[in-house]
Amino acid sequence: MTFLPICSVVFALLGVGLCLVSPRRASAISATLLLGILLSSIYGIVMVDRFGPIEVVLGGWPKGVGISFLGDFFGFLLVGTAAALLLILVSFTEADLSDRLPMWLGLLAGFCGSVMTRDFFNLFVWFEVSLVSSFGLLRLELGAKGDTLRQYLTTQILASTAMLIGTGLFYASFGTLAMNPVTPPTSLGWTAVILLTLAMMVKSGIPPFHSWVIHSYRGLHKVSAIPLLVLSSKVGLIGLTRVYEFLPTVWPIALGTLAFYSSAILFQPISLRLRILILHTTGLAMLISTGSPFAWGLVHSLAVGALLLVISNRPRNSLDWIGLGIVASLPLTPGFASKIASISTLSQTLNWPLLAGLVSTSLATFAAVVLWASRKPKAASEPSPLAFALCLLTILLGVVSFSVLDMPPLMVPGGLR
Amino acid sequence: MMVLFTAAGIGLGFGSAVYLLLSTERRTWLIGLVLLTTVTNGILFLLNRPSQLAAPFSGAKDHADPLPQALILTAIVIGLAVLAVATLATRKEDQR
Repeated sequence: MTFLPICSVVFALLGVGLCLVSPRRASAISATLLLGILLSSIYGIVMVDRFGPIEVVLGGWPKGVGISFLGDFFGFLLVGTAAALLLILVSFTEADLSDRLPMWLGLLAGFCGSVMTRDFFNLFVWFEVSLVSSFGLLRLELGAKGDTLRQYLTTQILASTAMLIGTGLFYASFGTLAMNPVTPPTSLGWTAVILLTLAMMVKSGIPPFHSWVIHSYRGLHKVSAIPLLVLSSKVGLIGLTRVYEFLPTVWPIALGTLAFYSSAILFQPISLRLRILILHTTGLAMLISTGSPFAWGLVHSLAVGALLLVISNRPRNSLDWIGLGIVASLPLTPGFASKIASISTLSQTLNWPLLAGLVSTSLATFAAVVLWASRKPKAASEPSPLAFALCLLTILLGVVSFSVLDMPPLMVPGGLR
Repeated sequence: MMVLFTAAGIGLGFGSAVYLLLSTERRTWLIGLVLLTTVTNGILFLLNRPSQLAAPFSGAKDHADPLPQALILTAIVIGLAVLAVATLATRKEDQR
């Protein structure tokens, strides 16, 4: 059973090698191995539900020094979902993907490794695996469009450098690379955490570090944009959830607010922008004044609802739909704190109302993106009734699902934690 | 004094690397990439200290910490791979 957390990584890397050796059979090889990853993930979910998270420390090294993998419920769920998505793409796409499949599987290997690993240096290594694959994919897609590719490379390499230095300083401060050190951070430790946070924000393309995402994805084929969107930027988000565990609660709220406001500024007209900001600020005020788990869920839902209004109201031509899809799929809100809490809860146990809430919210956002993308270019300035319905549904589902969480209290004597 | 020199060297290296990375010429950009990787490895090298863990066979405790060295070695390999991919990925620009 201990092989399960490593299984997905091995399958994906094996797929890269086999597809490169035998490009003619790349589709069949990929489909088989993706099915293997999907089945192993389902088996992993069953095992975690029965026996708890599965931990593997390679080579018999002490904990926090060697390479360690941890397969929890959420990790297996993410890996299984990613494999299923790629399997659907490989099975139903008519385009010739034989040269892109090794890159897709490389992205998947980086994604699986990032989800399963539990130390920062291996997180860096898997990030780089994902990065090299995304370089290759972008090169195949964009050809010799030098500026776009070079900008992407420069941004990503600078973020990787910040991450590597942050990892080194983390080890120097805590004496371990494990993601859950017991000692409180020193000033050196804080520097490490800040560097890691910045690197993850750049890699996940969270506003105000999002400009490279829209720039890079423009001109990309839709089929290739999906794995890049799902696997590459989400890897950064996974890293961010790991780093956030070291930060006081107020940090994710502050960073989320910065991200949300900086993204809201992008949108026109001003009346819409104001509507979003009022909706969001109301939720934020409620969160700060009450500090209850219910308010956490409400803020998250309000913010996602606001985002749906943005998407449904936006003219089609002004921004590439892929770019907006990326922005829409990112946790722009202070409700990201509640999302992290929900992820850690889901890591431990299968919480059906919570899972249903997360999935429903994501599907509602996705539906709004599709709705927006299918609208005529000269759209009315007011959101459609369907968008309003989606917005209300998201708020309702979000509040119901997040209110069942046993989240830590936000307010402690003396102010925010 | 040594600390001052090291800090100045790293600062200079980083500044130069970022300056070179902003260049539009491919060759200069690649040199910037190499410099950035090297300076980062230099920082990791400074993290070395006596290990708190017992050596695997002798049990001795007063040996150098192997982990930063492992980090640097891995970072060098990854940096080389990224450099190779970046070189190939941007190759056609100069050929046109």
